[in-house]
Amino acid sequence: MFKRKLSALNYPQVDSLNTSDENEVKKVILWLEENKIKKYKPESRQNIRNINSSEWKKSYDKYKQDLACPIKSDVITDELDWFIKYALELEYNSKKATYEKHTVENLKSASTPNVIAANPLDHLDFGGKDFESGVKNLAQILKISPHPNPLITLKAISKVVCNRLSRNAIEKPNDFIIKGTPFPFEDANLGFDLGDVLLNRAAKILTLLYIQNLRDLQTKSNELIVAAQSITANPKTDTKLGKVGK
Amino acid sequence: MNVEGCFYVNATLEKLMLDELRNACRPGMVGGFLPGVKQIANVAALPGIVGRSVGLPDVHSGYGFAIGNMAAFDVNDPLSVVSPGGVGFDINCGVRLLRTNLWEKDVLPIKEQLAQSLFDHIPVGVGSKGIIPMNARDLEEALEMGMDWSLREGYIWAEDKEHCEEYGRMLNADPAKVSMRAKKRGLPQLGTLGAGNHYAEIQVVDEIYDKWAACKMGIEDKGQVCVMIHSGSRGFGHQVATDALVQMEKAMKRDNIETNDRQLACARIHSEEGQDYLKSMAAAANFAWVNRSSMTFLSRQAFAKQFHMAPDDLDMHVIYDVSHNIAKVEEHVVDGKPKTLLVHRKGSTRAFAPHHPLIPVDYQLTGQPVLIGGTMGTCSYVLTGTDQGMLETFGSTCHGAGRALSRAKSRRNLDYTEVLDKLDQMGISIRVASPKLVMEEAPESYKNVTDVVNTCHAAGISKKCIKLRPIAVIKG
Amino acid sequence: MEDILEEDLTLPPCKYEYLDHTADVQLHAWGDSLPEAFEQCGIAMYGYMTTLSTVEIKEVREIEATGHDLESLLYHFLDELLFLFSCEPFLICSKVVITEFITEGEDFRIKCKCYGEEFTLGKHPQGTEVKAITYSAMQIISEPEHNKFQVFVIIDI
Repeated sequence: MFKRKLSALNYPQVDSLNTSDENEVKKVILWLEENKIKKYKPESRQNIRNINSSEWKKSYDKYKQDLACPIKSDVITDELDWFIKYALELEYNSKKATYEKHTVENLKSASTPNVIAANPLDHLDFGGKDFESGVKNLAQILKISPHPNPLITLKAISKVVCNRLSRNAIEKPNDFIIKGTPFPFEDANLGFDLGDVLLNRAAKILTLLYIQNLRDLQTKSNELIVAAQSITANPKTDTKLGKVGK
Repeated sequence: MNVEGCFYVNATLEKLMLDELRNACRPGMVGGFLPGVKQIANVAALPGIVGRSVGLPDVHSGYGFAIGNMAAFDVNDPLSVVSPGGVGFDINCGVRLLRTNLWEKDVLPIKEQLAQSLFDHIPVGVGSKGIIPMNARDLEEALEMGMDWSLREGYIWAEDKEHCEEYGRMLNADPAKVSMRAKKRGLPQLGTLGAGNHYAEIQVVDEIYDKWAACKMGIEDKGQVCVMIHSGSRGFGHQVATDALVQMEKAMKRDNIETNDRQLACARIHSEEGQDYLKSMAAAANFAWVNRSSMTFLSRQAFAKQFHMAPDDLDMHVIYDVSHNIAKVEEHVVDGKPKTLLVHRKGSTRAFAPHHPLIPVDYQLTGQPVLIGGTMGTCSYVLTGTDQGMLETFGSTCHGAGRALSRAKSRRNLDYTEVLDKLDQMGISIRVASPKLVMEEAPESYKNVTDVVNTCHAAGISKKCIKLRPIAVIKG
Repeated sequence: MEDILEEDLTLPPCKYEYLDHTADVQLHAWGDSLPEAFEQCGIAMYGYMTTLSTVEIKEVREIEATGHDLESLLYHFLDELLFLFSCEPFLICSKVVITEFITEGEDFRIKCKCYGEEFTLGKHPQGTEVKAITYSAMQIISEPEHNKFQVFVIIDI
């Protein structure tokens, strides 16, 4: 079970490792400390090198404590697993740049062929002067007041084109133009006062936009209900049940 | 008293209010209910009440709470109570207004036929049964789903739900908390108008006070024809209320809740009885919405047959649907802090201000439409909610005219043929199941609805928008 | 359902009236005994729903009501009668006969036979709908020494 991880760490006796032999496990731990973890200076490793010493357990416990190993198990292989993971983490962090070249995302992007976009819009320079003046002209033609950011103006243009200048909308304009009675915006009660005429005006506009949003949502909910009704509805009356009129 | 009690009146209404008090205090008077003024005060002494115990201009004495009383209780106060008497027996009794694209001149030539057609479509009066086929399972579903049931079955339009308080469905309804007895009483009565002060009226716009708000409601000009339906949860709601009162008397003893009047039976909001009542009340509210929806369907059919046009082409949309007997959990600002309140409105209509999140998107700028039904032969009004109302009355206003004369007194003082003749002279067609009792509902028996509405307008707790005048009345 | 005998068809005399009250109506009934006053009160309630002279006796149903005191007994008795009318069998009665009247011990109890027929629109004029019985201002006067038995009930309409 430790084979893959240990071979990643280049442990020399990977193939012959027998983890049921406690002495071998001790050797692995020692190897990890000496080659990878290097918690102690080489000269202070003497105590845990004496694998066969009766004092070894004591030194080992001290070593675990120094490494802040959280595993408290009677089975030494559980602890081994933790040491290996700890060593792997140190290894990875020391050579992060090398390893990250091999992450899935990086591998994928490298192997995907570079498709050349056929859409001319992809080559547009959205920050350029040409783009800005083009959008401005278009907005003027459609009578849309331009926003300092040409991309936002473009969004507004797209809305007008999609909603009002689609084929259906041109054929049957009455179905698409929202009819309604104008509401006296100036007199509308905002419900609160921000203490500034301009702020109040802005808040009022936001409120109205919010209400319109809500109206769209409600209309969609209603459409959903109507769609469901086409399946469930079957209203009937039975005048035999009760007498009405005279 | 825990909070102040107050009531809104003008000079005429004040006199009626104080007369009621004076009468009740006469020596030797063994009467039914306490006078309204005392009832408002007793409610102000209930545990957990916040703000004020408010009497609206149409207030008169009722069971426990006066009819026309609003009282709100802090949901987060463990002592707060819920009281069936604060909702009323006819749970979610309310008013619905439909508009049409017809004008008075289109309707006048066939007014009689139209009135008859409505009468032929809507079951009215004592002992009438609904004509929409339903079994026990349908009823269970309707109690849980409210107007969503009517929608699913195709009796109403998607837009109807949009223009209805709570979108026509209280989500906490639990039919399992409702007794078999209530369900048995409710089943045959679903889709019936009822009797007493309930009615369906064909009305025309008589006056427009707020042009823009009216225009948002689809009301363009004077003379436009509307249909108003005033009905509730019938025997079902009554049984739910009766059952709850029995439970609450026990709970009051157990929890040592003391009230000034035995009729103010109540239970802590968070007690089992309190929660059970709120769940069954919600089921009764759903019943009432399905009931009004069924009658909306029948009214549309009646108009469609008379005019040989589809209801869509007659633009018969629901302008709004209000409840004036209900308790609801709402967020309000009390002393500058937001609080969750259980607002009891008995004979009181919710009137939320513009921009309130709980009102339909179409009325965000105008405020919630408030429908005030008049009495037989008198005008009805549409008001809108105001910011001032939110502060003073937790967004509540009046509900109608409110009785002034007792039924027996009406019967003694008025003659039914005279009442009918008078309506005829006013150009109002009437179809009534029990003509001999028509004088009990004569305008003379009620407070003047115009006085009531003007008082609310002057106090600023709601704003006049449209006045409607009846041209045909259908009632029990 | 039991058979109806000839004697069941005789109607009792009228010993009730309707009293003045703001939003509702107060029933006042009396009799030579408390059960009779109760019976009369039941008929008074039915009398508010239709014109009793149009009601034929075609059917008889038995109901039972219990209560923990006289007031609750009267309340539940009237509620049962209302329930009989409100749903299956939709019975409107012109005569009610109390066959058992126990007003001692823990549970007060009434057994009663109700004579009438199914309420039919067209045949029975529609009166006012009784929505509920109320305890408000309920009075039961039982003074055997003066032979005075009266009840007052407000019904919600």
